[in-house]
Amino acid sequence: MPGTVPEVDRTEVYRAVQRSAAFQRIRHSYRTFVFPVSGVFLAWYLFYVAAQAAAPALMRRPVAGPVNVAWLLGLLQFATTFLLAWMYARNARTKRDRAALSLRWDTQDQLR
Amino acid sequence: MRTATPPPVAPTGDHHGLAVVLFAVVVLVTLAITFWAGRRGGAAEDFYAGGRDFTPLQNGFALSGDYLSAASFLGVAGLIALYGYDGVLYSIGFLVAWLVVLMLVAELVRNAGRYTLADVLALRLRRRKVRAAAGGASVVVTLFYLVAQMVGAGSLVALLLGTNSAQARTWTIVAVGGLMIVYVTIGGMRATTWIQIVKAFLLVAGSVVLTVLLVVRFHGDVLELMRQAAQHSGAGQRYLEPGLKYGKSFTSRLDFFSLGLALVLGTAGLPHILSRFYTVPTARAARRSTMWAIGLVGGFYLMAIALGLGATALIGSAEVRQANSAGNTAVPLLALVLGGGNGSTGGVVLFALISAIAFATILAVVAGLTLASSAAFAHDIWAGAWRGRPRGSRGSRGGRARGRRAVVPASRRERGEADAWTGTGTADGAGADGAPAVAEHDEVLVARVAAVGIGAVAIVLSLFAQQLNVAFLVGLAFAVAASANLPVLLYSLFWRRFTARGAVWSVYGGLIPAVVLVAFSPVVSGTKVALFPGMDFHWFPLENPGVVSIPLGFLAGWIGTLTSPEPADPDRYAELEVRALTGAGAV
Repeated sequence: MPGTVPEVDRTEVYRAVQRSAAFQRIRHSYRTFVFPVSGVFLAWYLFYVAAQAAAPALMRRPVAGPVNVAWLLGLLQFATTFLLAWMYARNARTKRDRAALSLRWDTQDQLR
Repeated sequence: MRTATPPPVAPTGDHHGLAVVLFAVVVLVTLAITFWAGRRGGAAEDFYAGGRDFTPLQNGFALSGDYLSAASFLGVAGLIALYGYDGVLYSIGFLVAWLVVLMLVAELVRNAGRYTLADVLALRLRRRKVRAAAGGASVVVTLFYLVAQMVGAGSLVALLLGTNSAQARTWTIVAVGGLMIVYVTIGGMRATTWIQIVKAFLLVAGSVVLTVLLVVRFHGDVLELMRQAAQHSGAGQRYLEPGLKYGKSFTSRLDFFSLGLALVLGTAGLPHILSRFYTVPTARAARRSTMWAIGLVGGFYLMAIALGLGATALIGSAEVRQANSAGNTAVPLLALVLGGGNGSTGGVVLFALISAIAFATILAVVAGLTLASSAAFAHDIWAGAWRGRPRGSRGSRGGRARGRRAVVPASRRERGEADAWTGTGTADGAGADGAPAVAEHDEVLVARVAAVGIGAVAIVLSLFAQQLNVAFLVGLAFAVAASANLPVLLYSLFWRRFTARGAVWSVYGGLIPAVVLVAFSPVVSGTKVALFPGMDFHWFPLENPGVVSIPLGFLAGWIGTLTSPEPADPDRYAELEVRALTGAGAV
């Protein structure tokens, strides 16, 4: 842990861990979830913002009572934000947390 | 934000007595928290990170407390009261931004950094100029945001207390600035966090009370609320359609797109939000606090939409605008009406309570910003870039890349250097040879002095910027954060080949265009509401620079990396990646 004079070559430890199958699995499960999902929600948000500028007529179309397409999409943005946050947390909890924690202790043991 | 006419339905005279009392209570309670928290430890860990022992729930409240400024509480609801649907758009950008924070930033930053954004970059790019660039950008972002909040505080507090004199505004700005300096210098992160928690709780509780009263008033019929709002808005059905504020021309729609981009990408680059993740012990706790924040912020904005609609339905857009041209007093006025109207006890009490919550909001947010700004100055610019320069060992630049695998003494020296750079050493570890402990003590002292200095600068700037629109200043702070901080952060975390030159170019490549484009925008000159209304030197048509400066920040980082004379150090990236994803070696 910090403060002690490092007896081992820290760089080699980190390189070895980075190459290990356990780390590659954690990295893979993180990136395969986060990158596509980030792309989707950013595209969906920018589509929504751009639609105000590009297709105001569509956004004005009434849906139910005073609610029009713009309000519907806006409320859907709230819903998808909550949903994606929950999905991310579940994914991290079930797929990554345990493996990451044990790899953390392993790595710190090697660094000691 | 600037107005001269007193609110027509707002309480006058003795009604403000209760508000004054509650404002005093807020000040006393926050000062008590500050002195109570300030007694506990003066180490860097305490000052910058509050001892890292907050729970996810506490930090979730603190995060939303930092995020929900008076601009959100009063500003967004006010915009909805005036412009209907176009105000709703604002709140959505503010919320969706949290997904970027949650997925790409929170956990990795918690694991890889120590106190500030620049710590994360310094873990793999050990160059003084990287630290200086990132620290400087953080100071600029927080200053913009700070000025926005304090200008808002000036006009708002004066308005809530029923005076509109320029003198009252000036003294409010000075008093708020003085208080925030006290909070930060004495209480550090621990006091600031507790103030945020209390404030966020009050804010959410106040919003729930108002929303419940509003919904009861409309017998739970939200569609009827929307109909009534449209009816009393003066714009009819157009109130519920996009374009009331941002629909006049293609330029104004593009401006809105630019703002939307800045909002969604800026949050993840805000220094005072990022430093919050260091107040919890693990990355998992950082994730859980972000989840709490998303729930609180999302729920809050849903209520703000209802309250904005309610203000229009029950008071009317014209009256809201007459009370304050930017609509900032819509929520307090709504509280007055929901409590029973002007003259009734319930109305006056509710008005005073909501005003006091707004005041607490302002105090808490400026304290968080001042702390982040002083941390960036003391930890990144002073200790990291200026004092942390490798003294008398210029050769270590090249040695850092190759000599690390050599003998132990070399790595020992290197490690000492790394402590200064990335802060991998800790307070207890520093006891080994004494010297870093002294440095840490000095650093905290510098941070406290910096808080005083930054506070003073912010007070002076705010006094000059009193005429500027607050929403614009906040939007600008987000644009600068998204242009200067986010690209370099994402590249560092995810791009294997990213180099120090790429980092420096990315920070300045986003920061400089953002600031320059604003200087030549209609906000500064060429319009009646500009900073210099008498002059016209603007050539950039948009008010918000985001749509140009954010891509430039990413582009500059990419080009800087490609043209870099030296390749990226794969060893450093291995350390960053392993540490960020597993927490191994994290403090």
